[in-house]
Amino acid sequence: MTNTLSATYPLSSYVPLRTTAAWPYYEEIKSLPIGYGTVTIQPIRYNTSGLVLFLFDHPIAGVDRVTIDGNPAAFNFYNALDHLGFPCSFVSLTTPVTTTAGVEVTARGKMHQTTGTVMTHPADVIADIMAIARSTYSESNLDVFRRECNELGLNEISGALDNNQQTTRAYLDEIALSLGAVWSGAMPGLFRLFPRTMPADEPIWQEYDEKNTSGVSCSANIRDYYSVLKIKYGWNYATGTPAQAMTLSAIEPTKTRRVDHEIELKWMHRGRLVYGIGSRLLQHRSRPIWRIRFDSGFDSQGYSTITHPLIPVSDTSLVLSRTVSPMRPGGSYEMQIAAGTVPEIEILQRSENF
Amino acid sequence: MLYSPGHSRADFVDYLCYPLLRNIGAIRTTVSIDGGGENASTSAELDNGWSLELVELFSIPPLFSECEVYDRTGAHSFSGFITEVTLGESPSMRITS
Repeated sequence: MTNTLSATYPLSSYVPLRTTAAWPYYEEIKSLPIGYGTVTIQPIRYNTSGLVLFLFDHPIAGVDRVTIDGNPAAFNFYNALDHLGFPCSFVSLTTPVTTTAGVEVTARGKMHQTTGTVMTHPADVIADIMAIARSTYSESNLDVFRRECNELGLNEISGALDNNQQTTRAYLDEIALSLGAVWSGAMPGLFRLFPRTMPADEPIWQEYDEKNTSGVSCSANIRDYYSVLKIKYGWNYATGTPAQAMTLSAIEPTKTRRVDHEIELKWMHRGRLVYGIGSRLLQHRSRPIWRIRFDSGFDSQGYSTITHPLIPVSDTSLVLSRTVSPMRPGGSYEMQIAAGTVPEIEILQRSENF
Repeated sequence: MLYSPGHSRADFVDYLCYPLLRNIGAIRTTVSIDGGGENASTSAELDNGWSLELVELFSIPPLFSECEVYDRTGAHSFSGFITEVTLGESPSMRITS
């Protein structure tokens, strides 16, 4: 199997954002951000008078709000070319801002080049980031992931690429975590939602059992367990902090120990979606998870079934780890299956501006 | 209770007893230089038995369950809770204090 992401730029490269150093004059070197969905950023002063502020390194759909030191300010938004002829977005103010003023702009970011609407669908955003990263990965490869997101109503993310010292891989990790998803360049579909019940129309790659596997073992470890999940979300890129938090707990009749865990869903802003993602994660992680490892001569890169007398669970799940060698047939695989009944999830706490 | 075959279980008549214990590993105690906390653990090698009893017994792995280890004389040698369970051809579990 070939890695479908054998791009000229590896994903471990820094995301290739332009910087203010591209302009004839600049106050300090900053990455020129790229924004998706409704996102709040700190704009970059574009001229010395402080009347024009640079927003994104692309045209955007609009600006909802500009505040200076917390106070709303009058503004005029426009898309225009920068000094070098690149299409960008700006706001002009009626009163100049100083270099020390705390300016925040909430804008509706990059538009889809075909539909012209603000790009918020995870599959569209990921495809755009892959294009920015100069990956050869085709947008159509995300079709399965797009269907999965639509099925679970995960059709809206917001965030920004704002740091050219962060790798493309790290940005994809942020998005995957924000969606309750996993990703791998070697996995068909690139991104898949996980954990989740198998989609109804999903093909099963392999049916593994004692006849086509060897070296089967499974282990469950407390490291994989938590019962309370604190989620920080609604990222404000101007302050570098999340704006909201939600704490979920698994209601388990046999719960003996509370283990807390905290995650940041940087690209997620809707509480309803955050609750859905958190519930999915917690319903998986608040149960003992069997990590099932085995060798087989039959390859799998997707949903597969495992049944074996040496392991106590039998189910269909995504193959999460696959080790193959070009020198010998077959490979080593790992799947995760949670044991026990699926718990109900309750909201313990929900807060804003903490 | 899991005990070693041939080993007396007279003191544990109140428990369901399974002769599935093969060996108890060394008790390892380390201290962390990042905070200095003690971490003691041991492992138990288990025997799945002919009828793969462990697979059924541990279908819900007993993570976080309290665990006491006694030596062949019945003397208490370690207390902890189960932090890892492994099933397969070499089943085992890890017990951490």
